[in-house]
Amino acid sequence: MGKGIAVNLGRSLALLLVAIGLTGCGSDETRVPGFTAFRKAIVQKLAGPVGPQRVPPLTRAALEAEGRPLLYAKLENRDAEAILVPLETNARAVTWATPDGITLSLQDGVVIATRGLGVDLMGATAPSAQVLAAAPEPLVRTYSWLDGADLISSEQVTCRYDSLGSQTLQIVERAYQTRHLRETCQSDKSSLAFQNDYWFELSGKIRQSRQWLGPKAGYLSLRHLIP
Amino acid sequence: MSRARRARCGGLRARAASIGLLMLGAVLSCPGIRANAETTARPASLNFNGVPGLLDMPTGEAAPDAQFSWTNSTFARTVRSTLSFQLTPRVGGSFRYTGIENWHFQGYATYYDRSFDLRYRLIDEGRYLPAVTIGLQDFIGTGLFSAEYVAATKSLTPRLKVTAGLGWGRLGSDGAIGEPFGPRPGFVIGTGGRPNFGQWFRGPAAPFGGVEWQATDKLTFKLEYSSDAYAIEAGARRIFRRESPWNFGAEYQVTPSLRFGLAYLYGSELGLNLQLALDPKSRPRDTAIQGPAPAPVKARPNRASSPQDYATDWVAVPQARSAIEGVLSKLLEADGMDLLALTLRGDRAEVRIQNRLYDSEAQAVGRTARLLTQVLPASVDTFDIVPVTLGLPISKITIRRDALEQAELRPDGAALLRQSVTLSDTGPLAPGEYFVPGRYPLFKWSFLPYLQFSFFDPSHPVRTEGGLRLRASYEIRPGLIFSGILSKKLAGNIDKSRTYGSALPHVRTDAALYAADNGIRVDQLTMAWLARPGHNLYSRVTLGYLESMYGGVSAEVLWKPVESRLALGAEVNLVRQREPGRTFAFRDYQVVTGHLSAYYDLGKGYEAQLAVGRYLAGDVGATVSLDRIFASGWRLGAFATFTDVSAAEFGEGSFDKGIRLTIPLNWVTGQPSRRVYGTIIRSLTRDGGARLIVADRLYPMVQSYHKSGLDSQWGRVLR
Repeated sequence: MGKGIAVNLGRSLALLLVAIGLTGCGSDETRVPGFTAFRKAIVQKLAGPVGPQRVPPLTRAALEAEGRPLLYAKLENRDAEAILVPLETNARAVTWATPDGITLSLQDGVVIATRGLGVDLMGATAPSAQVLAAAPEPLVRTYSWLDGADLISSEQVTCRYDSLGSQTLQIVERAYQTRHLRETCQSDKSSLAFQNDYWFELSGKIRQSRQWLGPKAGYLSLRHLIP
Repeated sequence: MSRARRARCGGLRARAASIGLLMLGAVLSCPGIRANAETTARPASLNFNGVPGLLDMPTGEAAPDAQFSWTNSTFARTVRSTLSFQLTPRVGGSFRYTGIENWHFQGYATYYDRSFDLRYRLIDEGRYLPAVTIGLQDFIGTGLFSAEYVAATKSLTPRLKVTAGLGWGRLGSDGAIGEPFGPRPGFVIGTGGRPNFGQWFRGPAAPFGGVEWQATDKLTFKLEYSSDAYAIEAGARRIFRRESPWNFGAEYQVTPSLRFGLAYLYGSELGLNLQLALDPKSRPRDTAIQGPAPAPVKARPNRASSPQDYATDWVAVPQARSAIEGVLSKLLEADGMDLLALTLRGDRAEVRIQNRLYDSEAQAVGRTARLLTQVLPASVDTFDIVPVTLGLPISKITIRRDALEQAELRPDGAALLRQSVTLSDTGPLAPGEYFVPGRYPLFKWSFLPYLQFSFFDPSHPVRTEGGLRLRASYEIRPGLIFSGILSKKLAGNIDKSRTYGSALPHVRTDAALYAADNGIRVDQLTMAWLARPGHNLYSRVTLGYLESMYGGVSAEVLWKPVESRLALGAEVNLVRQREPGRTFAFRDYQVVTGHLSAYYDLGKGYEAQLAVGRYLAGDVGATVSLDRIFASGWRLGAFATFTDVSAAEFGEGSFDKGIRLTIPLNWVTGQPSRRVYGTIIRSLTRDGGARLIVADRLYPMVQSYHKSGLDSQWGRVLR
C-alpha cells in the first residue's frame, strides 16, 4: 500500500503547487485572502520567527514635537517594543494603539484589556490608582482571556500589595520621583501566580509599570513618555 | 465465510471532495495540542490499529474528548491506516483501511480491506478503579479483523500503566480460556456493510495485557502479551511467522500531536507506527485568533450634562446620511466587511453588511457594532445589524449601545453583552430605503490551484488530481447571481480508477470517465435566485449546469426561525446527467430528485439531520446524519442512507454511508478567514442513495447567523 501512493505523481503535484500554487489571485476575498494568509503562514514558518521590533533611540525634543500623549511598551516574551498613542476613552479606561494594530486598554494606568496580541486579555477588574497607591489590604481581581478554542476562560486571583520604597526613574532625559508598589497575585483555584510592579509619582499617576497580561502573552513593561 | 468474498470486498473506492493536502502539510509542520492540565495521567497513546492501546492490543482508556487522529502502522507486510474520532468523552469510533501484501489469493497480490470500530468507556479511572472500555473491532464488513474486547487500564504511578483484557474473535484466537457465552456462529458476509451482531462476545475468549512505562517526557516503553493468533496471515497465507505472543515497543513523542513508535512483534517482525493526534476544539499550540485589534468603542458624552449631543434633528439634515454612509462604508471595508444598506432614525440605526473575512459571525457583528459607535451620533441608542449572505438578509441582531459601552473591557463582557442582544427575523429593505450606491452589481472572481482525492481504489488506495480552477460570480442585484467554475486538470490519476458494474443507472459510478476529461471543464455554470418569500422562510432556485455530472433546475425552501433549534426544508430538482468529456452535452438519463429535510440542534455542539426523499437513481429512502460542531469551526459527522435499493442491487457495501469533515483554514493559520476545507470519505461510492450536489444550499448559510451559529462563537464578539 505504501508503494500504492504514487510517489512520482505526488512529486509532480507538489511541484505543481509550488509553481502555480503560490500565485493564486482574484477578488473573492472569502477565498483568496485565506489562501494569502496560508501562504504568509508558510513563508513565516520557513523564514523563522520575526526579529525583535525595536523603537529608535528617543529624545525628549522629538517626543514633545509629536504633540500628543505617548506611551512606551515592551512585551518581554516577544522582545518587541512600540510607542502607543491614545485612541479612545471609555469611562475611566483609555485605549492606546501601536502602529501595527495592537491595542492596550489602561484604567488609571492598570492594563485591563488587550486586542490583537494573540491570546488577548479580554477584560480585567482593577482597583483605581488611588486605591492602589495606598497599598491596600488584599483584593480580588478577575482576568479573562480568549483562548485557542475561541472560548472565554477566566481566572480569579487574590492580590496583596507591598510598598517597596521610593525610587528615581530616568525616562528619556527626565527624572521622576516615584514610589515602587508591588502587587502579588495568586489564583484562587490553580497554581497561577504573578507579580505586577507599579511606580507611582507623588501626584498618584503611574509613571512606569511592569504588568502581567496572561499565561501566553507574559509581561509587559510600560512607561508614560508624554505627558 | 468464503475467502472469495473477502477478497472481493477488498475492492473499495471512494470519491472525495477536494481537500487541501497543503493543509495537512501545515498541520504536520506546526503541530501541537493542548495537554490536559487537569489530570496527571497522560492521554492514551494509540496502538497499531490506531485506537487507544498498547502495540497490537487495545487498552481500557479513551482518547481525550474530540481527539481526531490518523495512525499509519506497518509490520509483517501489512499496512494499517486508521482515522479515529472520540465522538464523546466515552464513545470512540474508527475507520481503518488495511493492506496486506503477498496475499496472492483470488487474483489479489495485495489484499485491501476496510473496517469500522466502536468503543465505549464504561468506567472512568478512579483512585482504585481502572478505566474500563468495551470495544467492537471490524463490526461491519468482511469480518477478517472482527473482535470484541473488554479491557481495564490502571495508572499505578503517573508513569506506569497496566492493562488487562479479555478478547473474543481475533482477540480470542490464542490462549483461549473457554467459551463463556457459547460458540461463535458463522457470518454470511454477502455484500458487506451489515453488523455481525450474532457473533459478538461469542466463541473462545482469551486474556491479553501489558504495561506502558513513561520513561521520560518524550519516551515510552511498552510490553504486551497478545491474544491474536494471526491464524490466516501466519497460517494459510504464510505472510509472517508468529513465534511468540510477546511484543515489545518504544514510542517517541516528537511534538504534542506527533508520535512515532518502533516495535518488535510476535518474535519475528519489526513494526513502525506513526500517530498524528489533533484536537479540533483548539488551534495547534493554543494559538488564539490573530488579526488587528478592532476599533475601540467610542463612548458618548454624559446625557445629563450635555443633552444637546443627544438631539435627533441631524436626521433631517440630508448631508448627514451620506456623510455617515461614506465613512462607515470605508471603515467596514477596511475591516473585511461591506456596507450594503443603512437605515437611520434618530434613536436607531439598521445596517446591512456582508462579512467577507470573519469565520466567527459573532466577531463580524461585534466589530460592526464598534464601528457604528465611531460614526453614529450619540442619540442612536440601538443598532440593528443585519448580516446578508448572497442577497439574503439572514437575521437581525439588535445591540443596545449602552450595553456595548459597558461590556467592552469587562472580563465577563461577552456574556454581559449577550444578555442584552436580541435576535429576530428580518425581511427585505423597508420601502424607500436603498442599497449603498455602487454596491451592485457585485463581481467576484478567483484563480487558484485545486487538489482532489479519491480513496480506496483497490490498486491505488489514494488517487489524486491537481489543476487550476477559475471561479467567478456576478451578483446582478441582491440574491440574483450568475456564477461559474472552470477547471483544468494538470496531473492526476483519478481517471484510472477501477469502474464497477452497477445494476442501477450509473448516477455516480462513472466518476473516472468525468475525471478523464483533460480539456477545460465546466464544473458549474448557473443562475441562482435567493429570496425571502415570507417570515422565517428562505428560498433558492438554481438553473444551469449544477455540478460536474448533472444539469437542470433545483428549487429549495427552508423554514428556520432565528432562535429555533429546528429547521425544515424541502428541495426538488429536475436534472439530466451530463456527458463526460463533452462540455455542454447531456446523456439521456433524466430524473426528478428531492428531499424533505429536518435539521435539529441537539445542543452542546451536536446537530442531527434527517432527509427523506428520492435519490438520483430514482430510489426512495432516507439519509440520517449526525455532526459534531466545534467553536473552532471544525465539523465532524457521519451519515448513512437507506433506500429501497436492495443490498444486492446496491452492490458492495449494501448501502451508502460515510464520514464528513470540515476544517477551517483559520484553525491552521490563526488568521481570520471564512475559507474552510471539507471532505467526504465514503468507503465506497455506488449509485444507490446518491444525492445531487448544488451550490449554496440554504441551511448552513442561514444557521451560521442564527442563534446556534452566533452563540457557538460568541466568545469572539468583543475581539
